Amino acid sequence: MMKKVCKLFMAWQFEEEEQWLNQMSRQGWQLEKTNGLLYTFQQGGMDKYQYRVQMVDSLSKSGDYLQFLSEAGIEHVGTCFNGLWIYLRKQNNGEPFELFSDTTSQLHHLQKIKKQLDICKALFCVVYLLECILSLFDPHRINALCLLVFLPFLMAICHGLGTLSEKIKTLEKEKLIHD
Amino acid sequence: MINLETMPLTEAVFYILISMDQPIHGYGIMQSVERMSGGRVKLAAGTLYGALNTLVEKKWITALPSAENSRKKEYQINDSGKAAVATELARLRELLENGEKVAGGWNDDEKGL
Repeated sequence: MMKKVCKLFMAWQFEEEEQWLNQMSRQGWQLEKTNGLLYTFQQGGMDKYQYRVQMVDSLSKSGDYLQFLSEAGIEHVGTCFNGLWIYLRKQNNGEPFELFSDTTSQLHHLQKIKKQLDICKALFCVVYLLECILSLFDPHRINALCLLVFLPFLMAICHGLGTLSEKIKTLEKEKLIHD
Repeated sequence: MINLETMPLTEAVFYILISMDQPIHGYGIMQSVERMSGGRVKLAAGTLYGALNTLVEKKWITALPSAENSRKKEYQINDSGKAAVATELARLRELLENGEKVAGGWNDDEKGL
């Protein structure tokens, strides 16, 4: 049996996304493919696979990485944002499936996500500023698009950046003592 | 100015380097490191991949041209890598000696009480 689910996770919620996929796996629903919005699950063994989501440089560059992962028994099940994010799974052998085993690499991954979000935020700020300037010259211009789309999105990104910064700070503190 | 060459290596990097005496592929490194450390150090694939790329860039290890029938890339430590391990070993030896000089006595003190 198959099940399709539409669900939206923001970049900084990738850990929640992993938890959700693993929860589905425990209920016997295994992710077969996804584009980051539409998730296709296939019914099969309870807790058969464990899932992870990772931001990579780009899919063209990560072909080598996917090959490397497959040697370690890790399957690539989906991609979103033009290959920026990849969905991975590994057969559950009773040991937790992790992609990063030390603080340095974990930190590096979070910083990569933060960098992308910073670029997003900068773009949104520029667009918002342009809108504001335009509306100065044309008082009748209705700023609905700006208010309803850009502003909430910008606020969401800022919130996400805050969440990520907290996580990065915690790890950096840890790194002062431990490797 | 910090001398990068004498900075401590991470545990992952140290174990990766010493598992490469012979040409070895990615998954082989994971298994070898787990075996050497008695199951304590389990390198995750993302961490290992990042470290391998950095080490190739630093020219401490060499990526060997893959054999015809295999898509698995193999790696081997080179002379700069070996020098880095030697420097790290000297640093670890110093830590161990100083640590034991002081902390080695702590247990005896407790027993004495």
